[in-house]
Amino acid sequence: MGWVALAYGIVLITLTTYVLSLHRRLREATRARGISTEHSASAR
Amino acid sequence: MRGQSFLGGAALGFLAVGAYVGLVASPPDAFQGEYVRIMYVHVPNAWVAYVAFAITCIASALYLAKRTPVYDYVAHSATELGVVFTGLALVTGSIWGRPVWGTWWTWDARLVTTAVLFFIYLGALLVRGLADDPQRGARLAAVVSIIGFLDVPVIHYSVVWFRTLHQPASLTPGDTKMALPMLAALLLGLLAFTALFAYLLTLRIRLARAEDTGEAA
Repeated sequence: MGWVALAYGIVLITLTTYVLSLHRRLREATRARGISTEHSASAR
Repeated sequence: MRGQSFLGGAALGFLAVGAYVGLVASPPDAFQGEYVRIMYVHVPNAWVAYVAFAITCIASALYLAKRTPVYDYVAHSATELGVVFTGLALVTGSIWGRPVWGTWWTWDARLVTTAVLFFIYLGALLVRGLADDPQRGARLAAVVSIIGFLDVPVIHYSVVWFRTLHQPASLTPGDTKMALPMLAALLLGLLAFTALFAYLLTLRIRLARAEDTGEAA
């Protein structure tokens, strides 16, 4: 069962990491755009 | 947003049931023993990679024809997902090959053409990332993605066209060569990974759009 556990473990860890990184990048992109819009508004 | 949460929940549910059936409820194979369980994640990963690159190819062609950014968001997102799932298909196949074939890797037509597919689409992501002008990068990535898709039918028929170590397709319409419990585990895996792919694709498209315009919704 060691090889099976290794295969399932790699799939689980890779996909979990990928999902979490997508959520983090989405939060950062939204926040960065929000800050950038605020800067533009205050400059005007 | 609500639809996306529903999709994520459904994917998680299918994955949990699929893991239970694949790891616990289904029997070991007469020849492969317990290692057959790796097939319940290996085949779905490969299937989802095919779907991802088909979407990439269509979205790339539409982007080149219409230059509408949404098609590029879809193409970019599906490419990234396709690379992740192809990588996982290669790794899980390699882990299965070690105890069953006695080797991590062999220069088999199916394995080589799949590795080529992985590097073609990794190249598409690199071409996009390295271009000074994002629109030029998107156009170049679209061209690479369309040409790269020619490898998908070659992969699929490689087990028919060449003498390979890789077994031919186990699931063909009207001619299934699997026992019912194993077939159920495989079909559940395919359903779970397809739902997961749909969830990840919608999430990744939102990210592409947010990075481009700041609109996450």
